[in-house]
Amino acid sequence: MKNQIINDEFISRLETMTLHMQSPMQGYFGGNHRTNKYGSTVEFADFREYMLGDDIRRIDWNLYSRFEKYFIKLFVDERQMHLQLFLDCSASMHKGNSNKSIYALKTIAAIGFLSVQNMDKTSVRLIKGDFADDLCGLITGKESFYRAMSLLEDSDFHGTANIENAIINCPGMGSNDGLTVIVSDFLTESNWKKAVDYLLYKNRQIMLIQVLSPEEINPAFSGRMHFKDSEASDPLDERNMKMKITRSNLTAYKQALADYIADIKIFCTKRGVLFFSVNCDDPIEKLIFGDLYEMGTIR
Amino acid sequence: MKLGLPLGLLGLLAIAILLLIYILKPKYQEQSVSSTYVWRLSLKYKKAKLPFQWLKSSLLLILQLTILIMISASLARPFIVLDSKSSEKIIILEASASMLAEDAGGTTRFDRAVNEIIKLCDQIDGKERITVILADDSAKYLVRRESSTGFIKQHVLSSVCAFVAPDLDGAINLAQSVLNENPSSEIVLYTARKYNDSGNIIVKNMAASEWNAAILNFSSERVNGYFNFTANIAVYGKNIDKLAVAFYIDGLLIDTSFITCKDEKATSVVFRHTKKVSYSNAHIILEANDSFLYDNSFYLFDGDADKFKVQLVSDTPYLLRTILNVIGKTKIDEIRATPEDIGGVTVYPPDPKYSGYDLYIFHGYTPLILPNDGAVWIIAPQIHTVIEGSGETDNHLVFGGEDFVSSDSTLSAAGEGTLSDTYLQIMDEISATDITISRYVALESYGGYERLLNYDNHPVLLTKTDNGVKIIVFAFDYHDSNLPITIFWPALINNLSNYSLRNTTMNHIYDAGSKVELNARPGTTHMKLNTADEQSQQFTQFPASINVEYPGIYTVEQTPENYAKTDNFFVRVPESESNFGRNGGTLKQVFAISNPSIDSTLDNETYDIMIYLVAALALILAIEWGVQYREQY
Repeated sequence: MKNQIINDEFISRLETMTLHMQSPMQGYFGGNHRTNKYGSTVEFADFREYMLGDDIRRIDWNLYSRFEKYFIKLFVDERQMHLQLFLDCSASMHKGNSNKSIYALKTIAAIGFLSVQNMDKTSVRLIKGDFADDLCGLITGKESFYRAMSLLEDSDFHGTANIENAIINCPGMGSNDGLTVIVSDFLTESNWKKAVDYLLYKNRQIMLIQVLSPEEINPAFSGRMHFKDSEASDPLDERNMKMKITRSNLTAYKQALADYIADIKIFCTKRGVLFFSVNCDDPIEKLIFGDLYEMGTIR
Repeated sequence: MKLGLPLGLLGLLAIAILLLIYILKPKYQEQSVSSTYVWRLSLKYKKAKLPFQWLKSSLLLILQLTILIMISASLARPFIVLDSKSSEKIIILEASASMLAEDAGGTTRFDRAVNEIIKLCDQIDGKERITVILADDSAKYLVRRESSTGFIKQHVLSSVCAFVAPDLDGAINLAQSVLNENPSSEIVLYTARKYNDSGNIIVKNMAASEWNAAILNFSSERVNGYFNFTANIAVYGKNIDKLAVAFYIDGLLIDTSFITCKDEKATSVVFRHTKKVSYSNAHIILEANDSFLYDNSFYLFDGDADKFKVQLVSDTPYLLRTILNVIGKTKIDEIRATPEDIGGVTVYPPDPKYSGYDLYIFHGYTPLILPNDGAVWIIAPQIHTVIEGSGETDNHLVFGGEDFVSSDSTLSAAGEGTLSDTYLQIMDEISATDITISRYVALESYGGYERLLNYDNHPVLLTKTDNGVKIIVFAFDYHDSNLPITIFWPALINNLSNYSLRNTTMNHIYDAGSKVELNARPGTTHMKLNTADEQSQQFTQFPASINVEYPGIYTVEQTPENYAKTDNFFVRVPESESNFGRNGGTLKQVFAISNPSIDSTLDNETYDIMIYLVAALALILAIEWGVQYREQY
């Protein structure tokens, strides 16, 4: 499936933004993300009294001339983040409304671009079944990013996606070295909350982006409906259900959805996880330059 | 309600089409959705199931069915027929005993029915024809297809209710005859009963809150020589815990019994140990203030068991006395026929009487004169010749003749050809040829007598009715025959008793409306009947026949030449009429044969209900639209 993800105009706007970590991380050497430690960047951080073993090239001779004591300069340490992007590639992300998958891809692309632009490591994994398939390894630099995007354009959405198993079983998760973004509709029985807790255990910062279609937010069905779940493997699957759509049923649906989203929000808030629930018919700019900017995730 | 176009109901077939649509249309629309996860979550948010939830889910179908039914009903053009504008009315007025029940104000059901008919006449006021049929024991027209209000009212007001069971079938037949002439006539029955099925007859029940305590039956039975009395009593329309029943014999209060009557079931009360071997009259009275008093008393007059007084003049009365006692209808006074020598003294018997008895039997004795107030049997008369100038009356009893010793021939029926009714009655179950006699008197002259049996062409058994007096003559002594030792002897005496002795009335109890035959005693020239409603009738021709209409005691006074005799009988209300609560069952059907020359529909005022149907239909359509809209949006 060929999906056109982001255009040049959108990229030009993204180039003015950077991805900002909510909290200090350990990360990798050579990035743009500050840490609480002192490193070897050129940005002055602080002075410290010379101790035996320190590099004598760091001694600030101006201070010596003034105080006749030896002080060394300390510099800010900036590390490289590892951004992990997980995309739910289950059938529910595409069936019913293809805009949903396109929106999800755009979200992955936008955040991935921000990361790459920030010279952070980026990896894109496609959750299919119980595994998260690595799209194209680590993405560093814009060239490899565009290469990854072209691969992303070809991704298809089918079957189920077990977020819990995919993330927990994902190799090379890393620890305290970056942000994990999961883009899904989270309309699944799988215990994705366990995956989030696992990521928290790994000291990763987490962002959950729930993409919903207008039909999911505000269904407009009537009469007697036989709903066939896009992820149901056969007609007798228990996820398929019959229902007479009445006003009370629609009210109940909306209430159930609202309560579900609220439940996710509470879960995320308690854990310091960022959560955004978006309508795929809304422009992507609203998420990136609106919600994420307001939260301070991008600057 | 009737239908102007019943074919319009064919619209109900659309119900089948609607149901077919509901069955055939896809029940569930298949819809592929990204995920049913939230739908499944939403199930928890649905309200708890309330009773009749299925009704809510089927509301649209119910509304649509109702719409179809109402459209069909509208197509059938329904209308209500008002019953006051029929072109002719046939009124059946029940005139039975139960219609005489009075309400608290003293108005009988019959009076109420008559008032209603009068009101109806005033309403119609000559515009329509009316037939009034009075249904007493024999239905008859009071007026037939009359329109003159005055004439109709006059006949209706003069009608009388009887103490009888009504002849409703006859009345309906008369109504049918009028209906055949005008099929659009309306038949109205004024009655005091409910009917399970009255067909097309309009029944107007005149019963109010009347109740009735009734004596259904009262009888006596001789037990060990004494009489016991049994009464069946019932109360209709009420339950009574303590009903007093007073019992009298010959005018004296013997006992008062208290009974409970519930659920309209008959209760028996028995009066025993009366120590009465005979009585003239016995009666019981219910002490109840009910709506119908005519069945609150009951009289019996059979205590003397119809004993006829018999004078038997005979020197050897044993055989006759015995057989008469066995038959049981007689009380016998015996007198010797000839003087008797008792201890060397000649004892002369008293002279026989010639009046005051129902039956005179002269055995071996020729009466000087013929009694004229009772039957006479002369057996083996003495040969007697009236001496001219002796002053004896030539009573034509026996005329000359001599004893003959017969040969051993048997008797034979006299006469040729068809046997007379008298012969058949007297000789019933008797074979003449089996009777032999050894001695008889040959009668030379027997003017006016009918010969019943002959011996050798000589009459030996004769009969004659002279001025009401029945005379039987045996020209032989039964001791000189084999009769007493044959099986024919009791039959012969019984036949002769029945022929000679007849009660004034056959029974002592009759139902109101029945026919009573009054028989006169011999010698009766004049009979007077005092009825229960204090009227009297005189009769001189017998037997006389009357219809007894009124319940109560009837007294028959006869004046045979020498004495007056009084007999009583009781007329009661028919048992069926005492039962006020009795359901009339199913009335005989009447059929209006269609007469094309009469347009029956124009005669009935109708009330079109289409507008209401259409209004209701519009309302239901609006509700159905609302439900549809709500379901969809």
